[in-house]
Amino acid sequence: MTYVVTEACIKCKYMDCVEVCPVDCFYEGENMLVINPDECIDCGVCEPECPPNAILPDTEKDLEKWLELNRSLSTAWPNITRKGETPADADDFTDEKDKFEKYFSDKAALHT
Amino acid sequence: MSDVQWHKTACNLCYVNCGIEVAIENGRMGKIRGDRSNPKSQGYLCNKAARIPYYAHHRDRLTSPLRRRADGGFDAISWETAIAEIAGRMREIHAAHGGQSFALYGGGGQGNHAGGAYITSLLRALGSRNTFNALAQEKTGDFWVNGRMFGSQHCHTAEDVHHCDLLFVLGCNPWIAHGFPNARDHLNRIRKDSARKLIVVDPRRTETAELADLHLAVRPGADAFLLGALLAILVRRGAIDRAFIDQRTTGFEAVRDALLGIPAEAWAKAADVPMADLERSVDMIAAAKAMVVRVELGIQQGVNSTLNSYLEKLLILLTGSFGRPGTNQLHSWLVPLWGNSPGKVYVPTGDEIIGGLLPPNSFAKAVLSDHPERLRAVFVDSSNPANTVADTSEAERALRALELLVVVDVAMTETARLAHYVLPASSQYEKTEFTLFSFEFPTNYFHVRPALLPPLPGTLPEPEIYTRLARALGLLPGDNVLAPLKEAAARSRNDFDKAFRAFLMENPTAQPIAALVLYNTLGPTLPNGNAAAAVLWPAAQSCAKRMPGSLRRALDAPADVPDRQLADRLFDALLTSPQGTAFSVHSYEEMWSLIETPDGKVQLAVPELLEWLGRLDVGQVDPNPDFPFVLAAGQRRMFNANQIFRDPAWRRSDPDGALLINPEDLAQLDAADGAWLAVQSERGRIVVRGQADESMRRGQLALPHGFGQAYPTSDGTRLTSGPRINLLTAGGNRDPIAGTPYHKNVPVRLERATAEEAAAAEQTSRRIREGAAAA
Repeated sequence: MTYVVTEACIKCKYMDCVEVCPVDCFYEGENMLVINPDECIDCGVCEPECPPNAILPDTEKDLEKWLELNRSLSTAWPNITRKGETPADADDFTDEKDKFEKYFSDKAALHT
Repeated sequence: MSDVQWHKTACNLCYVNCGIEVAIENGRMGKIRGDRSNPKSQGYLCNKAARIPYYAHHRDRLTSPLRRRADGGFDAISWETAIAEIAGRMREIHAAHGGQSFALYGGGGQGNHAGGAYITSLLRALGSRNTFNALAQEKTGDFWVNGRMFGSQHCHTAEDVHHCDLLFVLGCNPWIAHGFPNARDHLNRIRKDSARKLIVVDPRRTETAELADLHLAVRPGADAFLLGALLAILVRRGAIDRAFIDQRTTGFEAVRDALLGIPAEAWAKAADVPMADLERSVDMIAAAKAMVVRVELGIQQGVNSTLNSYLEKLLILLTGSFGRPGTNQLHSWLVPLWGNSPGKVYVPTGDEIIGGLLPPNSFAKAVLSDHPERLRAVFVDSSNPANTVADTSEAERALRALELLVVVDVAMTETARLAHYVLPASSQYEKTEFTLFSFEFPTNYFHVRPALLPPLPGTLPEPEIYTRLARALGLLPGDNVLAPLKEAAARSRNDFDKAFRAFLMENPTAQPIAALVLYNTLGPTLPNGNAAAAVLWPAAQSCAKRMPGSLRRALDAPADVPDRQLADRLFDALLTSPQGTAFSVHSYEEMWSLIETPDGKVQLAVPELLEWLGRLDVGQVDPNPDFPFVLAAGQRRMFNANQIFRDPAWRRSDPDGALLINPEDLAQLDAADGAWLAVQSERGRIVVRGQADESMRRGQLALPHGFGQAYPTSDGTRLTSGPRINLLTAGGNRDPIAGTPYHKNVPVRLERATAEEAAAAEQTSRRIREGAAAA
């Protein structure tokens, strides 16, 4: 079992989850994070930290697409172990629908 | 949000005690995260830690001393009344029957040992050393073996899983149950490294077995046959470490001869494991540079428990998997969690006292026998024997038969409901706490946790409760007598040291109660409200005397600090390190200083156990026609823990504590997945929800521990959540040496519950789930 980052993270990327993850299993894309399912230890500490409730246990329904995205992107994106700066307009996107179609990016985060 | 403050402490749900940080908001525990500054767990935690607030804040917390009425109800009484009445009853019983008629049951749990130090002190002053606790339901067979092989029951093996290249998991499921630091993290690392291997011995295809290179699905109850066959093959093939055996051990020849006499093929068959898999295990062991053996209750509460522990040690020692990085080792102690009592016998029941402890399986007999020294007065501290002792009906009969039963706990437990007096303790986060679970090598740790919250009104920390009782009994000297010690403590540690020594010389009768003297004199001067840690001051001195070099390295103390200052430095570090601190760093060669045999070598030959091995009969594993299923009573799951979680809302899955059963066995009962089933043993019958589970062997069943607790619904009705599994277990189904229960091997039969039983169970389940959802 693992937790999975889902659509609600896109363009929000608060990264509160990163601060609490005991095994540093988050990976950072341009506008969202993902969890490496093989590294996640299913502790669930990140779930309530996420303001838009983007993190869900993989036991919930209809998460296959997101589980696969978390798996594949976590091998391509850089590991993130400390919270970075939340996008200034993050709050504008927390309630927005269909963020995957509108904004999804498979690009890795740009690190300076 | 400005009111949120993060505090460092530790998880109290298992003996790893991972460091956590807790957000305190408006006087309550809120969010929990891993503490990256904890030197042992380094930020790791598991899924259960985040639920700790359900332990600390719930509607069944006790807030007043209670006295039971004749009708079974309780009256709230003042602390003054409770202490005076309990002390009065204690005096009467002591005068009539002496100290031997008193016992302690418990003395702490997975997160709290501070109170145990003080109640033990009080009982010693009364002349009793009788202590029953969970260790003697689980580990005393292992302690007995350690005493014989390593020279003291204090010697205890650590497991360096983090650096092994072969992890041999025997009777445990660390993916779910953890049991060593950062378990899932390290299981993942082993799985991902092709150079590191994992063997799992378990009847069930556990979550850990799913990760394994080799899973030996042993027949339940046949671990000794599997281990015996494996050892026989190791010796036959010469896959043992002769250099290690010659240098570090004695008695090899007798062990070798016994192992060569084992019919390995027949025993492998009895264990239902292919010989080819045992041969492959030996290949993997021989190829490993560093094997570590990780064991738990699967073998320690399995049939032949003490023998299993011996065979496990032989596996470690004959292969030389000992005292090196990535293997098993002995570990140091700040204070040993248990005693060393070789050959001592508890006369009223005839049980051997192991590690200073008495087996809970004999608790009922100790109370109900007609022996003149039988138990008449029992203190239960942080324990719930009415749920956790084998044979609940008999345990409750014994608890009811006592002349005085006092329960000290945070919540209204099943045991508390039978007590004459119930005393409300502050929660583990409302007072200073620590545990003695220091099981690591080469660096070992101790963690004193200051209070995060004030005591819930009406409650007291245990050291305060036992102080008041000791005062009322006239065992603890009064304020006038203690005043010079308090003044010395206020001046300096050095002055206190001298004054305390002089005090004990002048008052030899105060020696048993020394812990309470320290709490009341040195205690108030300690920082962070850590008065309850006063008892660690002599422990720090003992540590400095026993292993100054290891302590000096742990403290990183410069060379110009004299040895005599190390104890105070350690004590200060303990008191001011809310994240925990190291107290010993050993080299691998120094590990051998922890062995207590006269010649410093491990004694491989234990005649009683070799004799036991010699009379093992494969007929032992034949199924019992009356009770064809083998129940593991007390499985660890994602959402069960020890008895301290009472609010069912803490669980996120498995609300009924379901019975896991192979789907084909369920189909044979003509029962649907999720149906209510009746489990019948020689002792009792309970109704449980059945859950089909492909990981179970045919004929094997599992029920979780940590259920069976009554909790009030919003209208005050007390509903019991999930199975009280010890209604099924029998006191006599136990190890012949240690008296530890064979909980992993309870013979039962199954049938579908009657329509009435199912309807009642479904209604209770629904009400509990609705209450949990509303919470």
